[in-house]
Amino acid sequence: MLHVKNLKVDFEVDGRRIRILHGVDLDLEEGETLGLVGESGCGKSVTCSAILRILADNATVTGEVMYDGTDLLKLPASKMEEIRGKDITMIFQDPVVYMNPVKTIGNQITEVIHLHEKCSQAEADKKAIDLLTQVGIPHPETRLKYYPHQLSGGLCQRVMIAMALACKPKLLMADEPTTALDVTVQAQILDLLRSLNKKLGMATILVTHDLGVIAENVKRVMVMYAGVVVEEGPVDIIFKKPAHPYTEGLLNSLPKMDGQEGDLIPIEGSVPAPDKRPAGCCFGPRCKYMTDECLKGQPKLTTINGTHRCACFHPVHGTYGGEA
Amino acid sequence: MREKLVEAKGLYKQYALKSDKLFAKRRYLKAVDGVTFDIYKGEFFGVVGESGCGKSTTAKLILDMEHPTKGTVLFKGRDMSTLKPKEWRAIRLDMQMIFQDPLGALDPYMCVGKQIMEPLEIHNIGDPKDRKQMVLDMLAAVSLKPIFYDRYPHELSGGQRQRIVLARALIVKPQLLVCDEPISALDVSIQAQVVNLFKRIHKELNLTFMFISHDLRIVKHVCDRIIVMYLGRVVEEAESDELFANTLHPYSQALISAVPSLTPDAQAKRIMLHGDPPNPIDLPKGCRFASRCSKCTPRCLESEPELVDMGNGHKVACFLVTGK
Repeated sequence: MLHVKNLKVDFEVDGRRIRILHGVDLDLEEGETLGLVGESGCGKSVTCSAILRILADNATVTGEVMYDGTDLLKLPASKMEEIRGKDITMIFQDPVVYMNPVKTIGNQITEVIHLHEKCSQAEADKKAIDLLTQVGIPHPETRLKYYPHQLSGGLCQRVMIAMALACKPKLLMADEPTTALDVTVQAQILDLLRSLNKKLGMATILVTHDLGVIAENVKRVMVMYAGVVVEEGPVDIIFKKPAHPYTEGLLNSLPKMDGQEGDLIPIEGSVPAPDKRPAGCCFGPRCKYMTDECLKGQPKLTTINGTHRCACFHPVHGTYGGEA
Repeated sequence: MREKLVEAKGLYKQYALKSDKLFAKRRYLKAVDGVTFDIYKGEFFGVVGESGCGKSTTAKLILDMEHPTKGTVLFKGRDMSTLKPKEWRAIRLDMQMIFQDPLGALDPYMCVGKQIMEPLEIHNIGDPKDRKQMVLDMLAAVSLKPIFYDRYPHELSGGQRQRIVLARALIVKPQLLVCDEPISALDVSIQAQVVNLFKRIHKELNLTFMFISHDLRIVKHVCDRIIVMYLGRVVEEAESDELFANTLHPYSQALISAVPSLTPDAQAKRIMLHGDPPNPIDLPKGCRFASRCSKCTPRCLESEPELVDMGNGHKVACFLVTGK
């Protein structure tokens, strides 16, 4: 359904071109849920924004984003507008920022409906009430007249989801949808997203930095680091037998809930700035398994086993299948 | 008998709200509503709860940055609010704090070495000639190289900035360090580095920590004793191991179960809370958790449960558990 090939994004800052995304491949089937995980600045949000073409003007996107047989990157802006919000939608981390503070939430939801469908205001209102019911907001009729500031963070996120679902999208991209929420509310929202995914059969890309959220909510995951996909595969395999040292490091650095004593095992150093990337493998300087071979170049994403792929010359589990 | 460093006795903090009518009854936001606890010397004391539960306000009351509406705080047996300014300053030196956002806590125009030295100058500690060496020693203690002395905050990464803030707090040799969400703004791979640093400092300096966080994984990993707060009250207090092994309060149970586990497909045991916490301005009668509690009884809607010791220092405020 969605095939992204060699997606590269450059930003022009102060007259310099800085590459943020270094050729990302991504395939998504209908109804599938895919997790994108990585730390801040690894390019996970940029990937989603590039697919939807909502990046700022100083960004240059190259590559291919095939959606239902058309390349979204080559579409004229007007055609793209028809797809955006109708076929592909996105929800963000901080719902309050993405809503209009001086318009009621009813107005904001019906605005989306009017944009993509021809219907009367009464019909649109009825649809909005249905949507709010669907996302589990109590008393939807009265809530339509509320402004965003009158709702809690959890309710605002539900309204955002309602807006995103207004035109029955085929793909929902959720960019850190629960990061700004409390854990008990996070559990509610993730539960809602899971049930909607099942009920409506839409594909979902879940972007997060929280490995726990990934473990519980998606079947397949892509781990990103410094603009590169370093590992990809089924969640249960990657959590049990991570192949890339970065994935292994991330899993080790988290304290476990089931009693583990002693110090945490951190990943030393910090993520390189996009304009100061190390030579060779981008994770090299922080990797405890680094060898001279790792300085030769960025390893390609190659198959470890079945659908499990990894970009490392010396995977923790399995062997590197590509050329050095 | 262990020595008590901090004793919080029946703390209340209410903030008066602006009213739009002249003779309307004044309304109050009850940020902290009857909180009593002790922090023992050398302890790693944790405070957990969701946003708006009063954890940060409690910290401010302990530090005497806010004055309680009712109740007292004793630090080393003395009531801070009754001290004369000169005495206050002297005793306040023994308590230091660090906050969530290190960039906001640092002066952008001053090199970090000078910022670490500033407390020494203000409190006139040590010989001016020795101060630079004291700063360099402190930098080494938080695992930073001497070259960082001349750097400015924007040149550092998030984890390094938090180390600088920590160094600045520790240079006056405090006895109590209050940390309000000290690692929430850091990336996952960096969190482990800073957490390990906290643990090492705690051990080496025999420092008492009050550690406020919403991240239960981290709290479980570092804390000796924990209080769980909900809407301005302590609902449960216990040794860390006891709290996680034998959780008594329904809210704590839901909170702990809401933490995403790192094993795929482990949502089975989750206790899902419905709705959001009630508004701290118009609190309902009875137990404040009743509206979201699945085990709520008629009695819970009538009166508010007190914190009762169940033996071995495990205290809980719930009728269903205490029977009282």
